[in-house]
Amino acid sequence: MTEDKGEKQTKKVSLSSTVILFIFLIVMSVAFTFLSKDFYSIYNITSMLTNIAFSGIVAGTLTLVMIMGGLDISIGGNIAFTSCLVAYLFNLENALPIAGIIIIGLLLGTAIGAFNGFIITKLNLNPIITTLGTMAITRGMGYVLTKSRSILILNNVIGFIGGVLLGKGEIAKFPFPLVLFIVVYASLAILMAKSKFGRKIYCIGANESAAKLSGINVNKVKFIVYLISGIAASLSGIILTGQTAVGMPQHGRGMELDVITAVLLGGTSLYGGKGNILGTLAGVLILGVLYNGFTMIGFRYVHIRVFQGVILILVVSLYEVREKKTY
Amino acid sequence: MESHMGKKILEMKNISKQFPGVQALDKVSYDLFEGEVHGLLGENGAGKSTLIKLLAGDYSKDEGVILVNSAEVEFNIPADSQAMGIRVIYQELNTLDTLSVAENIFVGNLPKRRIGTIDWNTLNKRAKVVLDRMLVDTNPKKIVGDLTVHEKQIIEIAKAIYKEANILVMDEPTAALGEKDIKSLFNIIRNLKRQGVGVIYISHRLEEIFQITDRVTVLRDGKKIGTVNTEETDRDTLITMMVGRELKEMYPKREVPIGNVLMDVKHLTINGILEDISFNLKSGEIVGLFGLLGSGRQNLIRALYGIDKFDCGEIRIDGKPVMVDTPSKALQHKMGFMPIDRKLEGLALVLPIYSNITMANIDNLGGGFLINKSLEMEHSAKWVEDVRIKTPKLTTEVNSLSGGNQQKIVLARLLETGSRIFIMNEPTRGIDVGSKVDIYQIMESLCEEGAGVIMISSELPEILSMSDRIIVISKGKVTGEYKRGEANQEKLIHAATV
Repeated sequence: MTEDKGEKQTKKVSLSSTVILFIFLIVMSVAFTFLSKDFYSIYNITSMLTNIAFSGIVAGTLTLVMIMGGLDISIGGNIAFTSCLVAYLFNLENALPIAGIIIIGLLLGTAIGAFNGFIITKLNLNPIITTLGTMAITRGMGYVLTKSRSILILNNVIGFIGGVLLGKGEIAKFPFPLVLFIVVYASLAILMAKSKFGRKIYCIGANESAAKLSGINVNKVKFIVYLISGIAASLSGIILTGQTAVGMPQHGRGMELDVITAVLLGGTSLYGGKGNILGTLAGVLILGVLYNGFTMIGFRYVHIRVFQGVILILVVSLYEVREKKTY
Repeated sequence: MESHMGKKILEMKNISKQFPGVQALDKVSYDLFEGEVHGLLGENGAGKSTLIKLLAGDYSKDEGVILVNSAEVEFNIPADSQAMGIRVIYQELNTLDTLSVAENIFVGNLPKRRIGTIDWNTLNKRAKVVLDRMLVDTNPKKIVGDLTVHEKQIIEIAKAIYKEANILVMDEPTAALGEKDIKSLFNIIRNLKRQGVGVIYISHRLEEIFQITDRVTVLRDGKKIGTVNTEETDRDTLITMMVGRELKEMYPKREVPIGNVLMDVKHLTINGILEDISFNLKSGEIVGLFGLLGSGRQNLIRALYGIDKFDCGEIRIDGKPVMVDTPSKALQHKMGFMPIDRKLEGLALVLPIYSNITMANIDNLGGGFLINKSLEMEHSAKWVEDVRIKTPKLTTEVNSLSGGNQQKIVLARLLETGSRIFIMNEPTRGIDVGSKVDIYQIMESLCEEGAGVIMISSELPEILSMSDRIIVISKGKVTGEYKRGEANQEKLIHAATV
């Protein structure tokens, strides 16, 4: 209580955790290369990374939300609704040009994000409850719009966004989602590590009252972050629609958990104020490689799921232990 | 050192404890007689917390012997210590706020009926017995969450009594208490003494050491400097022992020329809380705000800083009327706010020192979207030096700093924003003597540079020594205004209870 408890240096601790994660990633990848002939092929790596890009982008923006001390579990519903809307609009008589449809899709994401932001800041409702509600509303709207059916959408532009070459169903040499993934992560990394806005996010997550007293416009920052989360989710929805060539209300079911897992794996604290984009990147890649590698070896989806849960508990426990040094 | 007829219930001999890079305790000896209150005093890093944690079984000692009732003991886990009748009451109380008083006292040992359900009648009766033994009037059925800090403290003490503790350690028990509650606590302690309980009393407040302790031991840099009978010593001696240097004055007040009016508050009213508050703050001046809990002082300063709204009144800064309705506006007018609870409202504990210092000035760390890191480090390093924090690395998490250093970080943040009007809410609460003096000296330097300070303080010696003027608030109204030298403890308390 009255003594300096021995120094805890923020930068060093989080950096070394991230380094360990990346080492683990490399070791895992090497292991899979030996365990499966098909793992280390351009086709597999590219398609694996394209899949990762889909949920990875949302994991990046969710990192912002969680560092801020909030949560957005409406991302899955957002993906579903956006996907259904885009496919629906595409198949209308006298449909708008595809560019317009894509913009409307992104505007939907913006609206969903704004809705979340408004409820959370102006009405002061708990983020978990708010986004839980939005999740149900948006997914429900997806079902309503499509009358619970899947809507086919075959279009080169959408396909390009999804990273597939239409007609051949092939993965492009440099899939668009992957490019987007890199651009988004680079931007978010700079935002969080070096920008004034990013710093404000950390401050709000670490101590919202102190941030308020320091003159930070907490409501404005929160609103923008939820907005960003909403746009990212709808973007992912469009990518998924392109990848699968369908708009359906089941899209993104359960991906909230995968995304949150990746973010926590990367070292972001559930309580806010701690975390970084690089860590989430490691988390996203680890989960992606895990999934892909195990599938290549012959594990089934359900087994991998169990393993994923075990890893999450293990890794987060290690983080907790590290925080509390005992003598 | 013989002033007790009772037996020695605790003896710690030549205790040493080392942590990586620091010798926290170096052959420290400490003992306790039954029915005695033995104070433990020391600065930042002196070793008090370590000694207590060793006694509580949270740490293990490297060297030395602990004897309870003349029998040697080893504490490997806290349960070992508790089994020997030792109970620590920490500053952050550990009550179960959703349960009742009786349930808290007997937690883990609730009396049961034959079928296995809780026997509420017996529980409440037994709670009443324990509370009566402490000469306290609390209703055992009340939910603890609704109680005041002092009432929760009473419950923790009751729990210790029930568990037949005869060595009670109290760590800064009065940090969050008002005058009346402190009196009540001291009565409880005196009652415990009569029953033979020995109390180890840790506090930074020298007046309390003189009021309640029989002996006092001073630690410094992990070593025991000395143990004295309280009656035979004085304030200056204790301070010199704690700090190791001649501290001529605890309160380094300087002659600072008082200039123009910085802030003028006229007829400030918050319906039901504050009525027609008018006062001003001049450049170079420290205005002390005194009053009891609930008098409205907190509401007043929160209204001034734009956190809470007020219903009528006008505020002028440098002669011009201003609308300060958000902290952001307050900062624009060069107001700085130091909250009463630095952990709750002041600091981002998981963030590094530099982040905390620049938190209120982020937009000015270079133009554009990005933060100019070198500028940030430069500023932070300057303030860390100015407020005399001894931690060398700016990347250290604020979590691991002592209370005094943490408070200085909050102050550094106000300096970074170029504040001229400082509003400080209990600026030296819960911090060690050395840091207090540092903060007083910084306040004086700021005044010399033309700043003005509004300070809420409930520590009478502090407010009487440091203020140029004292304003007393009682039940939402100004009930007294005194110039330096005009006031004394009686006058202030009288005005505060009008």
